Amino acid sequence: MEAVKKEPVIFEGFVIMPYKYSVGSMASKFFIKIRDSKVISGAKCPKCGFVNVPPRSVCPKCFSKVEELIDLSGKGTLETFTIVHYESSVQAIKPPYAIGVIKLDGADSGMTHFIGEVDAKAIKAGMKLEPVFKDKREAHILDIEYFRPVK
Amino acid sequence: MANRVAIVGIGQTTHSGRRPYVNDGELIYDAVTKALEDAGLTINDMEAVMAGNMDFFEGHHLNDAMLNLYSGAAGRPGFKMNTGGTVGTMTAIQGWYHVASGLYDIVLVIGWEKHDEGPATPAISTITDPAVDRHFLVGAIGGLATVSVAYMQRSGCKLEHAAMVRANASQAAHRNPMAHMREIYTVEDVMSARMVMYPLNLLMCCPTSLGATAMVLASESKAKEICKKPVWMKDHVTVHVEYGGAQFGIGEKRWTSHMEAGAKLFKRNHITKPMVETQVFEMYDPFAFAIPMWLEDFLVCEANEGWKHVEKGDLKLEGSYPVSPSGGVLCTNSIGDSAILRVAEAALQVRGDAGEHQVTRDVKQALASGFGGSYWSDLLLLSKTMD
Amino acid sequence: MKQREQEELIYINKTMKIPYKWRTGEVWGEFFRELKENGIIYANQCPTCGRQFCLPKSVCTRDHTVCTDRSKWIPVGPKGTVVTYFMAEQSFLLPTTGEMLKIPFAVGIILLDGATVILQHQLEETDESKIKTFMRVEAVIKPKEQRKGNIFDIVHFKTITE
Repeated sequence: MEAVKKEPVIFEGFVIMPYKYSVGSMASKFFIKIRDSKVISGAKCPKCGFVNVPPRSVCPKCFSKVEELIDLSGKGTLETFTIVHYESSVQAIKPPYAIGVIKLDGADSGMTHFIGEVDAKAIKAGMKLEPVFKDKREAHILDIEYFRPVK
Repeated sequence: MANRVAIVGIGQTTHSGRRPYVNDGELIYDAVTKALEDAGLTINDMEAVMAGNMDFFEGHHLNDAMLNLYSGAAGRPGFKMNTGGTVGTMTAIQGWYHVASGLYDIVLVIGWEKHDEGPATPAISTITDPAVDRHFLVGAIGGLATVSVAYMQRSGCKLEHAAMVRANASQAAHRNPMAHMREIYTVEDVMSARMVMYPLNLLMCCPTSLGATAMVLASESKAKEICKKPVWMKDHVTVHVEYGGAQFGIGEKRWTSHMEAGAKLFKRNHITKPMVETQVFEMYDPFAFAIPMWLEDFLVCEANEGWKHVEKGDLKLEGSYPVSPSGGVLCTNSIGDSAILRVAEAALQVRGDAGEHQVTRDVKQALASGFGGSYWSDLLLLSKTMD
Repeated sequence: MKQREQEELIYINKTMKIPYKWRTGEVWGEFFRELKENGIIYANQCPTCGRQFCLPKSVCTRDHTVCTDRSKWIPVGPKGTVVTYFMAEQSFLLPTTGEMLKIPFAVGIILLDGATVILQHQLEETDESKIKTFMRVEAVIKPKEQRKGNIFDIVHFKTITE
């Protein structure tokens, strides 16, 4: 258009919007059990027995409606993991931190959470882990502070 | 040549203002299981799934991926529609393309929205460019208020006619157990509601609702095999217009996306008297002036006659040409769901299954429309018979 | 229903706040530069259909003709006609700034003298009974030292009698 490139005009602003996400009746029970009893539960399919953690009210295997929550020990096995180094405004905690997929004993699906109390170099798939709960809990997934290796 | 496509299963959730006991996935699952049951099929029979919802309104984008467990889309091909108010009709039309192409026999189409979780008007505002129009659009209401003022100016329609439309819609919604706002309002109730944006007062605007609707679409051979009352998706037209400006037709002949859609659909189907050759119109009517104004714009009736039909009572449920006998978007607006609900409600009318809000006319052909985005329009023709 | 009312429900409350730096592009960049430096509102013209766009467009949406020829830019306004309008009396959150809309807020769909495509902007008048379609308005432009090169360099459109 022009022989000389002019200084670009930039408009700065935000997209700011407040949200209130309903987790639903079943998920509410899951979070309340964590807050009140430090118990992690799973959703058990009445048709095929698949146990989903965190609980979903539809079975991913057979599409049936799932309403039953069963208590789990909270202990599990680390399936896979990564160490996060970069920083972003949407992170719950400051990096560096380890995050992994954990298959809880009694569950058929994996759940994602932080891994703590262990040196990054020492983390290995197959490690046995147990949850560490915060003292002050709010019925939120981060009431579990992280999973640590079973001693 | 396109293959014939029929609607063989319909399911919708109840619509309401707040529903914190379910999350968005569970809402979808409710509609999907109802549609599958209505069709007498299971999720394993579905070959593809089309999902329609507006990004941002619940605070997510790409949420068809997040929710593909509940919709049955996991492991199946399909599309996500994201076209504003036309999401629902576009989702149904996408399903139509899949089956009409001959590549799929049975597909599932779903539209949903859960407005109790996010701010609708601020979210809608982000449809505009951020440097200029976003400061002046004021959500969806701004544009619709201006076209209402222009309509009153050119046609002789008065505020009272818009109030009549809302009062009639409340009577219809009262007979529809799945609608959101079912209270009955008189014309006086509507006229005295709080002003939001001249000329639209609170009752002349649609509510923000939540709900989901699902439909099963099938090819001709499958439809005849599995369904006693298939509703044929005979034809449809989608029109997009240039962003902003084109609706106002300044200094030029006024030509809107609705007019283009109506002209094309009626010409292709040899319809010269739409109010005779179709018997019901589930119109996407997000504000009270929509019914008279867009009845004219879709070329269903003559210019400047829309409000006269309102005055004569023609457009009521028992009238000579019922428009939105379900209560329409005026009484229930869950954006990703609203347009597909129009198709579903029109199909229920064709099937004779609309219960208490079934129109008194015998329905052979029905119209359903979608509207939204930057004034995009969809118009669909549904039929009891194939030809 | 009674059991439901006693049931505790959990919500995730979160405010999305994402920062953006929107590039206005070559054409709008030029429009805002002229507005800032010289206080002039420009329109550009499509060489095929002849429509004058204010704000200027880089491509005509009807003909798909490229409209970046700088010699075809013409100053328009600052006077214009209100084609139609709306007036908001209900406030809500403005996502660009996080502030609530100050009401009453009137927006005019304005055809500036010399343009053939409309512009939306705030009207100074907030008494609905005084806003009439086809009324004449004039852009109120900030003094040069206050201009930043954005749409708010035009403060609003004031009603004029002619």
